[in-house]
Amino acid sequence: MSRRTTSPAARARPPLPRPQAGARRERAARRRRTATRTEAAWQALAAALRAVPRTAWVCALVAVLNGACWSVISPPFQVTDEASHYAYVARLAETGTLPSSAAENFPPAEERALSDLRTAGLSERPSFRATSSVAEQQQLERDLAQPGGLSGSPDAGVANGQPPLYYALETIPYGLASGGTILDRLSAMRLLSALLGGLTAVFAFLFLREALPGARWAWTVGGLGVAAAPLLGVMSGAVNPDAQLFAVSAALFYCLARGFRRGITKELALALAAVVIVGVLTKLTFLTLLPGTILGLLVLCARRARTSPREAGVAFAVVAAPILLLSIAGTLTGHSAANYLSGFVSDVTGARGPRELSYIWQLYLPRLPGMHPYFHGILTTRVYWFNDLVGDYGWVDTRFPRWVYTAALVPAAALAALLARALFVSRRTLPGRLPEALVYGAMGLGLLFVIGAQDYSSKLPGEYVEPRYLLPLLALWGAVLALAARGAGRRWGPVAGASIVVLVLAHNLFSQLLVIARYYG
Amino acid sequence: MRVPNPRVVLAGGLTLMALGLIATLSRAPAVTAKGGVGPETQFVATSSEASGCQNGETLPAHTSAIRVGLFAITTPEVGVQVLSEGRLLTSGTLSPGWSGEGAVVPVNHTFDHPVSPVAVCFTVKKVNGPVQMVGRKTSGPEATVEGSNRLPGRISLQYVQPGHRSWWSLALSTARRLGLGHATPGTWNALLVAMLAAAVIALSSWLVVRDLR
Repeated sequence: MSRRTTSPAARARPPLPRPQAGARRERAARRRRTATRTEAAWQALAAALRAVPRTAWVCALVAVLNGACWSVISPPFQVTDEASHYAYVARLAETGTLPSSAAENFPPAEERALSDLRTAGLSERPSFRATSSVAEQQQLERDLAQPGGLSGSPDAGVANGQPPLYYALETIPYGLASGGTILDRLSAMRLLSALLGGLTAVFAFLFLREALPGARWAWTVGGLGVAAAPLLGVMSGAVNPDAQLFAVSAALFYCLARGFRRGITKELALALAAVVIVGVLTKLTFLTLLPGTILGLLVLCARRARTSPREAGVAFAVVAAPILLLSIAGTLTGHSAANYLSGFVSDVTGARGPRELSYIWQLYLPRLPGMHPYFHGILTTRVYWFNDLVGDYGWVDTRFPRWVYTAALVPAAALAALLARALFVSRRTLPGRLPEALVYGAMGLGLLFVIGAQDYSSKLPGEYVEPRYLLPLLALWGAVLALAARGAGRRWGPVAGASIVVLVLAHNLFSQLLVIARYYG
Repeated sequence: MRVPNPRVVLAGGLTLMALGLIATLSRAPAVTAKGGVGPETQFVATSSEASGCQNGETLPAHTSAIRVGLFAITTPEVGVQVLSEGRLLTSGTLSPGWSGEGAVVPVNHTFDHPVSPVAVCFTVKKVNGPVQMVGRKTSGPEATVEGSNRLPGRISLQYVQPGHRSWWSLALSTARRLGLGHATPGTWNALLVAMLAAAVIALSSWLVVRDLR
């Protein structure tokens, strides 16, 4: 029996195509496959966007409008470090290179604007007012109209050394407004930050939906509490990578909460990895959330491993790989990101560790017996954090009258009591949520630890005390507000929720009036 | 007990907010009296408790607070005493936690006529880090006295009085100033701010009405 070398079907086939035609066909097939994959990805994205509740989009709109409102209220370059962040974007947009110096000799066009706007003379001097005469305005317009001077300086002040993603995004509005003056560019760039504020609100809302699934109405309370928060408005109405940091941090909390509620999948792991990459490329501060994130990933993968060890392994690898790769790349290139966390950790584990830990403790909490006093005569919890979160705007120089901070203790105490009641009422379910709470706690502690360590290293107590540094935890703040509303019980909960929303709106409105009075009054 | 409707609570809250707004805008902002040494330059710094006296000052009528030219990151407690011929006229203390340049220390007694000459003495306590004194560099008899020494300048002292014009009457000039120094200058910026703020409140209220039942 002769061995059949060709099947009848093969024999019926047309002759094999020439190699060139085969390559073309292969390329066409590849294009079709890519197009199909792209289409599928778009469809998946559209489906994901459709799955976002309308309430979340309205919260986003509130945050965007609030950011836009603050962007008009805050005088140009009068939100902390805005001149440095603007210089970074200008450098990137004009030369395609990153800044290389932390000095503050900005390009001539920016320096002229800063001089005419009296930026240095205004900052930290609350008794001085912004541009207040037509003559000053005319001088400003004359100088803004001068051509050139947009590039030429490698300086970006405090922004130097920060990752480039936010700044790269900001080159888009910078370019779109390139026909205008430096202030037109700044306004366009501020609007991009406002859009990022909207993203923060969406992710905070989605986090609440996953973390507190019990009462839908409470998500609205927490979502609006985040969206209309005045400090989010200030920062998302300015050119500052914090605007993107808050959004990506809220997205991180959302991904973890989703994992804790529904279990980790390959898709979620991919999303988590994407969030980590975006976060690391946004601002070094994001690194402070990574230890808690890794802990969360371990917990989620350990849970998944009970039913599917292989999927757990894949999910872990998907998230851990970019963290590992970024760490290696940072170490090899000597980027400041590589030393950011390790430097603080080695400080604490080294000889000055106990002193530093004591300092960090006292930066947030009352001194314990036996601790060396670092802050004389002040209760840091109240003076640094509570008061600053109630209101300290501009260059941390614009405050309410002192009675406001005392009066604010009343709603703060009410919120704390309602939160405590909510936790007490649901005490039976709490043990099951303990690992999740520990993960969020670890993320928060990572952030607080690094703020404290930076302050300790600065040798100027309080230098790194700015309430905006806590805003990567905004999603948790939304959860506090939602839980507080639930703490009033099912019947009174919506009433408490409405009161909380009114309180947040009032806080935002009077903060805006305060800043208007400070700069333009 | 009958539970109020969240819509009623929202309406009540917004009404209270509007009343608070009206009350705030009906107040007259404090103003700084003419005269006194302005915050021209930082001339000395201290990292420990300090005190000083400045002679030849005039306490304007109705002075409700004195802005002392100090700057610190973690602000200290600041006390002031106003003396005339060794007799205490008024005094006040500002606890730590103020911010920016200038500690606005409220005083406990006001006069309806100016008093001159007076000596203004200040103390700086609960110091956590460097405190810079701001004022005018000078030497000789007019410099601020600290114990038996003279500082290299005269500290800025500005006298704060209640204003006479309410925010309502200042609204137009404030709106005009808000329109200056922006990308597209004009009083319309104030209108834009008002519209955006109103939109934030309206959208949030709509969500509360829709979702909180």
